[in-house]
Amino acid sequence: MSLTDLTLAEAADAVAKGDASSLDLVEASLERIAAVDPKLNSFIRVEAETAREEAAAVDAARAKGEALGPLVGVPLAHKDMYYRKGGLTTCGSKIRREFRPAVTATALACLKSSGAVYLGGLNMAEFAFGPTGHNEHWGACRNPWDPTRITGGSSSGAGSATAARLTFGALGSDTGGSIRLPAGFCGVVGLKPTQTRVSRFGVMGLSFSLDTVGPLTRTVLDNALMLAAIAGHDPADPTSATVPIDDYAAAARAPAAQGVRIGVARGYFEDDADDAALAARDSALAACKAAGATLVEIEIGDMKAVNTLSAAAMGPEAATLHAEWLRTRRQDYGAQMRARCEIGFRYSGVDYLSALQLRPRIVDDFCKRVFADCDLVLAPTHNIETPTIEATDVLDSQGFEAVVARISRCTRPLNFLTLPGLALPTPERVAGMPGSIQLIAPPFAEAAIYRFAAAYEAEAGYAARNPSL
Amino acid sequence: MDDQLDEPYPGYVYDGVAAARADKLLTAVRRTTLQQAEGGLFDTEPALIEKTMAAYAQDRS
Repeated sequence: MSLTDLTLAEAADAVAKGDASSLDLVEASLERIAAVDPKLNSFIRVEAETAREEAAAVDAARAKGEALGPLVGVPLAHKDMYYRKGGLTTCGSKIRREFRPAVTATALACLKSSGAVYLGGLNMAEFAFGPTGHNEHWGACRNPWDPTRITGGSSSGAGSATAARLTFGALGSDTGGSIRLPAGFCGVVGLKPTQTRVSRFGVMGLSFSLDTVGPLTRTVLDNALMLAAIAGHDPADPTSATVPIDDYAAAARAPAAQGVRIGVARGYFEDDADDAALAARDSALAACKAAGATLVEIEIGDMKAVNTLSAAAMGPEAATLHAEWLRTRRQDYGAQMRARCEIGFRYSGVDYLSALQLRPRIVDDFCKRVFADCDLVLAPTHNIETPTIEATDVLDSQGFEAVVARISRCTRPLNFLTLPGLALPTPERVAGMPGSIQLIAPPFAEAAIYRFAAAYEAEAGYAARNPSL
Repeated sequence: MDDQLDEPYPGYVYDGVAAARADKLLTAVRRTTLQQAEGGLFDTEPALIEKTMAAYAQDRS
């Protein structure tokens, strides 16, 4: 067994007990990246020397008997949009190919103080604006379960590298599904936390009303450990929530499903679905029931309206951030990124503000109505068979919006609704590829999700699956 | 429809296909806003989202 087959929690435990050094973990990861990543293109940049230096520092601290963090010595790579002072951060773009930020993202600083080691920057959709995993500048990222198929995006490398055991976990970002989609298509666990739960300081922005930072991992416990390291208020990000954080790791270590009411989201989430994807969803419902949960039918409401309003918030915000470069460096954008940004210029101020003013009302109505009857909602993360890279390489051609919309259909509503959603693999697969469901909770109820998800994971049995590469 | 629109900045090339694509979405947004804002948006503001989220956070565990 290779060290890279350990989960994040097991790897940290091995370093803490002295069964392996951080340098051992780094070398095992580098060896696997060299062997496997040419097939996947999940890394934009491997920072081998940085990783070795940081690992040596962790090992030296351990040898001196210094206090060790919960992620001690574990190498992690992240979507290449987390700023590291003086280090390269490309944002998956041509425009920022040589960008070296002046600050370090709070989320990265938190991971480092928890003991994690930085392994490199992962492939992503250009400026995090794309749900498939294509990238015109850095090449498409490939799915480890079948390299002809998409990873999902925009955190494409985070999904691919985590599933392929090139990293023990990764930070992604989610504005309309960008953590949950790659987690879903690549068969790993991905959390979109509650809006503002995690600091966005030093993180490339796309849409400040909808952007979230969260982890992709192989298990629920690993995910909870990463969230525990990064969650909480950050004075450097005044928008980050002051709501107290729960003990996420403790929740994941105490699985509980007995009596939990799982609301089954149908309607919108089943429309236009592939049969195999719904069969996989049904296998997840069976696992929930076997774990002790009660399934209840719920009325999910008008998700199409939520998505439409979400577009009215996201479009102008993305267009605003990119306006100057669109004016001065238009040719340096990929076709789809440019086309999607351009849409944002057409909304009026009234359109934009109407969407944001409607948001509290819609969130309040959703929470009152839906969570009166259930504790968590279960919906598919994606309700289609995993498309090929070739079939979805649509750039800005006629009808590209339909491709984008179909892939991200099930994930987009949560960002406007502010709610946390954890993508988890299903027991049954979808035409040989991973299926995925998302568990959705009221704001800031990540611990409740982890507690139930850990019980689901034990029943679903996906954690032992490993793509053969 | 214009082949080129001089927006959002003078000199910016914004083709008719892109404009048509955007206008289709814009129509959907305005229809949805009218439906959802039944009774108007008076006494609302975007910042209420924080209060709304915090209210539900009380039951988070």
